[in-house]
Amino acid sequence: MDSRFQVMLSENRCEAILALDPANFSYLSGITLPYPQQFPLLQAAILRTKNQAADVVICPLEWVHLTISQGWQGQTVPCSGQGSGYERLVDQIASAIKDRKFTPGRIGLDESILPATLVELLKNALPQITWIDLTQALTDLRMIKSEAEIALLEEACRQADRAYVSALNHMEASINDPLGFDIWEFTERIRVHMGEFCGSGFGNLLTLQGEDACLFYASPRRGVLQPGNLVRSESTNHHRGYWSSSARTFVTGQPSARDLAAYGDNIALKNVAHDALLPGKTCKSVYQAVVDAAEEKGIEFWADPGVGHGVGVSEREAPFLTPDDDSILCPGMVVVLAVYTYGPKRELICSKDTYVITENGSRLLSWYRNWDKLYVVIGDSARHG
Amino acid sequence: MNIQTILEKAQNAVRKEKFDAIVAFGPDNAQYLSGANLPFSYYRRDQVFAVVIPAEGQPLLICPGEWESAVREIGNVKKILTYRASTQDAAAAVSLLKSALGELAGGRPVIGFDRMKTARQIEILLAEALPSVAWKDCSALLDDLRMVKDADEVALLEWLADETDHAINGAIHHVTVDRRTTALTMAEELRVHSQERGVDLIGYHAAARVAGDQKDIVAMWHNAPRFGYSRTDDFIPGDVVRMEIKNSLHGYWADAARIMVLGDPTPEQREAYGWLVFLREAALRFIQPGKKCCEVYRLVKAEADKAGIPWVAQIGLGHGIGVAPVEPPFLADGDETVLRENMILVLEPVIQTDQGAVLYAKDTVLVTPSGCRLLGWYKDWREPYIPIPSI
Repeated sequence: MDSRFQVMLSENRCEAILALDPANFSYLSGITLPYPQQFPLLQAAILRTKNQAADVVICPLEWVHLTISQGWQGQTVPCSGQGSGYERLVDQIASAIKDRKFTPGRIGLDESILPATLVELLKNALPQITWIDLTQALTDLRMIKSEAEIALLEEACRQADRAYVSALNHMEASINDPLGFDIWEFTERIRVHMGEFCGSGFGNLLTLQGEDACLFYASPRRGVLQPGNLVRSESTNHHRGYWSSSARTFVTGQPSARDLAAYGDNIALKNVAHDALLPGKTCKSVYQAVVDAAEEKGIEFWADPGVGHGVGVSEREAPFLTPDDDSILCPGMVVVLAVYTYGPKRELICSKDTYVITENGSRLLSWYRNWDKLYVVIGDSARHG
Repeated sequence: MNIQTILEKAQNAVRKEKFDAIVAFGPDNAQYLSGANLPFSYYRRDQVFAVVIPAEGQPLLICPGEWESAVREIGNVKKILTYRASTQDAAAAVSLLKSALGELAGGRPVIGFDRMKTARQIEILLAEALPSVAWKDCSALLDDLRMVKDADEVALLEWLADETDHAINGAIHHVTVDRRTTALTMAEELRVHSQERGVDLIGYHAAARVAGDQKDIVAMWHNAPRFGYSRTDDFIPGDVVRMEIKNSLHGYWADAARIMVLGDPTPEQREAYGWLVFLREAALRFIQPGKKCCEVYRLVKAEADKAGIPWVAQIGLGHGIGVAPVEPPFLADGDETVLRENMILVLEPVIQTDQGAVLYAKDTVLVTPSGCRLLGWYKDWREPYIPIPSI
């Protein structure tokens, strides 16, 4: 990333970039922060400079240790300003920038996606700086992954699929047990196994069965898994800050012919999307290929979310496999194919797979198990454990 | 949760502050006003999720099309406008807002938005799309609304605090000093026991974290970057163990931390725990309606300084809790908020011992008419948990 980062700075005639969006922060620093998206206000900033020796992270005192333990080589400045809005954070940023005596003072900023109040305070605090909005440039930079990033994403995919397999293995013997198997316990086992396979964190966790699976997301369900249902489970997890976005669909008890056909339709459309993942093609052409195939094959699919998206230091990011994304697929882009089709009861069926675009096509990163056949959960053990 | 009470409260505030409407873009604010608890919305900020509260009439929610079924199932706002996922989500959402807000009274409507949480890009698009609108920051109004809980919110947050402490006790009950336990198994026990008591299974920061050994106990955010999981090192008899969990139900939170000592506490361990008790009791004495948050912080700090307690005061003394596990007000030097009845706070003083151990407990308190009341003590935490030595 470093050489491309330096080129981006040069092309924009910037001496540094200041990033506060949590994903941009992670991307530029290599530091994973603990749930920064869920604090009331942004709390950390990174200033990355042409001269790496001048790089600085500004973060709450309680996060200083984690920057060092993750190998951050630059300076770390603690900033504790709870209850003071953005003012103390901006004061510390201003102080760090003034210390570095940039001339002529062009600094990039992920401005478009930062809170308006924060942007205003920054500009007021540093009127001598010419701020360049590099939000799009950072997005473009993040879209093309390095080999190291691809390795992390591949490992995150592996952790996710191993977690699904393990959770299914725990559950499947009990599906016909009168005591049943709790939905929460199944979902929780996915999360637990992500950790056991060395994942660093988890995000979305959701399992929906039968008619509930018609929903994209729902309030967490209670009760046990019932035989005779299509079940869709979705999750996101990360490995050292690099995310996987997964969904797998299975059936409890012996599947009906309609279940099998519906699942087959989903895989057929996903394969169409996969075939369209070629360097030089636009993202929207992948979407259109699915639309065309769905029409030709008479398969109804849920078009609202598109058919996929990028993944990296966030669980969903550019490029987007949607009708309007003109981005050209390039080697190094990593995309999640997320094609949703309908089951017999209008359940949303999805089996996500992650691919890296290569010189000639694409390579599957979520290879741990082949999910092209509908996973059938059967079993009668009293308490498999 | 009776969202109607929240909506009435919000509309009264909108009228009182002479807004024609307010728009909440922050996912926490949008969740608060709509009841639509979508944990992933915090992580997909490019997808606009906004709630409009007009001075008169029904609220309106704007979200991506694929979220609609979830918003209808979980939330309470009936009028929902959706846009198709694209590379231009912000523009699409603002376009919907333009048509919706265009229905407001003519002239120059005054519309609030939570500028502290609204992307600059959206602010620009709003100004371009609706040039006749006087846009004003309503962040303080929303913070103010959220800080004082209604009766349903108090009941839910108290239940969460109760059951979380109950879950912690249920989990630590399994510990025997001379039997193998690891930080990881302890953390997972905390989650499982919480689930068994009926909290929602969600992800992200609804994590349990346990620090049991020397390399972990010296940091608040140990085991980086594996914040979602704890280490597999065995507990060692005599160690101090720090346990922490965040639990959620219907979008509201508990944020708890407790200390366990694996054996009879040494004099140093007793002293360190005593400091946490001292800070908690000082806070409980000073928290009362009418006092400013910064005033409580300073009063506690003065007592801590006088007693020579190694409190890491820069981190603050505590924070509010509600639809987010950390939210205003903050018991910190920079917060001038005046405490009011029915605010709910999490006390979180952090100490660091001479040996470098970072210790904290978290207690939830409700501000009452005359002071405050501790919530959620399954056991009396004037002493740490001490498991049985052997079976």
